[in-house]
Amino acid sequence: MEKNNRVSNRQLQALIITTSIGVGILSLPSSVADIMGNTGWLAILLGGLAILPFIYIMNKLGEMYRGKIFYDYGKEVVGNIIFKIFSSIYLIYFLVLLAFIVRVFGEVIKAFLLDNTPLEVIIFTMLLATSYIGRSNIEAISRMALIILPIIIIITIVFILFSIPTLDFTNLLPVFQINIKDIPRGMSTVFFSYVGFEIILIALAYIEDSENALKCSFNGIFYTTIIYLVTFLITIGQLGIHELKKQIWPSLSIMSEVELPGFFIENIDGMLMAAWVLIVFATMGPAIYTGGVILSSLFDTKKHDFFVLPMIPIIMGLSLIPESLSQVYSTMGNIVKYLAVFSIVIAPTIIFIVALFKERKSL
Amino acid sequence: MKKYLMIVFIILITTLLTGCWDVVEINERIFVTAIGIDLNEDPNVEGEYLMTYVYPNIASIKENSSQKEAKFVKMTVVKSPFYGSRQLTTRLDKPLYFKHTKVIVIGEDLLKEPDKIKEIFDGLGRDPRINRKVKIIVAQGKAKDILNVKTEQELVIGGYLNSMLQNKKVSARFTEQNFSDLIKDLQISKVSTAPRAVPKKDEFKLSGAAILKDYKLIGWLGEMENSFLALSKGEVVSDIINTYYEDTIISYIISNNIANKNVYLDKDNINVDINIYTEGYLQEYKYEEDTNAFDEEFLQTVENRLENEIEENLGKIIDMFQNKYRSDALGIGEHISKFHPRVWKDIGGNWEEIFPTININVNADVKVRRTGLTK
Repeated sequence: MEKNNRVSNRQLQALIITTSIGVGILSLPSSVADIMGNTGWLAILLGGLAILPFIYIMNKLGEMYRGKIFYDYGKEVVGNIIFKIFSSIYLIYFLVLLAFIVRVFGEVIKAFLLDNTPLEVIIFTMLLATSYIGRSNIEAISRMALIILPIIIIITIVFILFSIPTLDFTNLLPVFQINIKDIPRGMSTVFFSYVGFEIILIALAYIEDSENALKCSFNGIFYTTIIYLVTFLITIGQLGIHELKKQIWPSLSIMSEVELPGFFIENIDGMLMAAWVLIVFATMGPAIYTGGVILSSLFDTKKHDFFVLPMIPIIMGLSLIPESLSQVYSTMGNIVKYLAVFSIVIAPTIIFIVALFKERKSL
Repeated sequence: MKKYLMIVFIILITTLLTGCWDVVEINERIFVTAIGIDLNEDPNVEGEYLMTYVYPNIASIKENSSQKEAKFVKMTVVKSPFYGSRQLTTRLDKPLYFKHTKVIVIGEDLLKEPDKIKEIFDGLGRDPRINRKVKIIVAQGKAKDILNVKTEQELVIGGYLNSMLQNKKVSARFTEQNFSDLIKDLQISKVSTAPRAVPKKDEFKLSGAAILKDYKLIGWLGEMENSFLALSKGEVVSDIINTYYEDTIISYIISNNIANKNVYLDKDNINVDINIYTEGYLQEYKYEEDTNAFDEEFLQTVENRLENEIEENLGKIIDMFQNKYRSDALGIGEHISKFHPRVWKDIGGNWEEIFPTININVNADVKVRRTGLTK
């Protein structure tokens, strides 16, 4: 591959954080609270832990086939035809995921910022913008992640600072009043919020320092978990469990509750939204890039960039299928969940096991 | 040829680059600062709600302005509260803008119909344009009478009400309540309070509170009662309490207030201790030639009297809540559910019946730290 097309460890870490955090952070607190009540933080922690084995598998695979991306070495491992089926499912997954993200994005923007703009226009412009980064190579994408990461951190800090005066942490009490059966359900909801880190299936092939890649990937998930935890603790501290369950996007509702002394700063949800657009951009960019890469591996082309633009109308069409926002979260959300389970859990595990067997045989 | 096409293309593209073609300038917007919601009583007009919108006359804010009217008040009768702003567009040249609404005043009559209140609260919660921290005030009488009052210092009634509400540094005669907290209270303990506005001739006063239970108005709290209730929650920033010492009134200013609750069970009763701790200083006593207040024994007596004062008054209020209103405005249920979840499992279901039977003891601990400048 090209000489400078390399990803440093810090970039890998940033890439994992920015791709995981996206539209999920808006709805996660209320969907977790819905299942686990005020012990939702436990689900967020466990969900983060549950991701780690798959990060490990992906890293081990990356080590076995150094310098190759998942969608290429997969063919060697399970055979061309079977892997093409795998790749197609991956492709569908990324298309539906993008459609889901961009639809939620459009709905949020429409509700909070641009209530006169047609949804289609918001979605289309966002997709066009992301396709630009999607057409570039992995190095550009990881640089973008490193630039956007501070924005996420600053927002989280602002979020904490502004809400501290009105936080009531007794809302977290009583602790551990949960049904054990709820934990797996809560975890699966959380699991879905970490979706997006599959970008390392590609990024690991270009890693500069492959020895520390695993550590950096773990760190990435660790920081993501912390950001999710903070968001959950603040939303529940601010809203209380009953109101939290009722909100669709609790993180944004809180922003419009912020009140600083005097009339100077109020309604800062607009400011937050502007930064949040970048966060969503950082989630969608890598996803649309991956879509292009999968297509190029399916059709055995050298470049992926000309596949990106044709994907836009498909994603847009998919994103406009759900009739209402509640349908987006119920039906479309579930489809994404099942596909995510395949592409994060099932497919890498199968390929890992087969690869292990092959390695044994060749020894 | 190609060159010309390019030039034409560039010229065409400039038409796309003009931003903000549909911008709404700030003076083209009507910033509604206060909304009043009443029940419609005029049988001639169809509709259930009487909406009152107040917004400043921006032209009159300028110095030496010839415009006299500082604010406009528009009223309309509508079938649903959120229809009001649309209805008004038939009478106004600019759209109403709610992002800076500070206060919502709800009329007394409306609060007697919980279904309608639920409708309004749900609408307020859903609307992304309305700040969730908007202050809620209950009008004793009509909301429109409150909003029609001419105010002197602040030009706009919404801002006036808002700064009144933030005035808690002076007294706890009323406790400000915002939409978000009100909803939270009503969901957790089914009871909440909101400040009461009483219309007078040419003015109004904020005093006491309206007690809401299950989205319904069940009674009023007087201003002193409100300040004692605030004491029991540790919410007092500053207030004054009077007591007697040898036929002279002693005024004690509270400058710090902490309260906590302690719940314990004996055989068949739930006991709650409310511990109130206050710090403060003496404001006035009787002027005499000898030093009379700079004496430990004297201060001890005063502290005891003040403690009794608080315990007695709060006892009356608690009794009122337990027996008259049968509602837990002190947040005891919430406290038990958080800190004693096992107990709450047994009693949470019929808390409303259990609340009047529990024992509540008030322990006040008053400290007089300073006596002012004289001895």
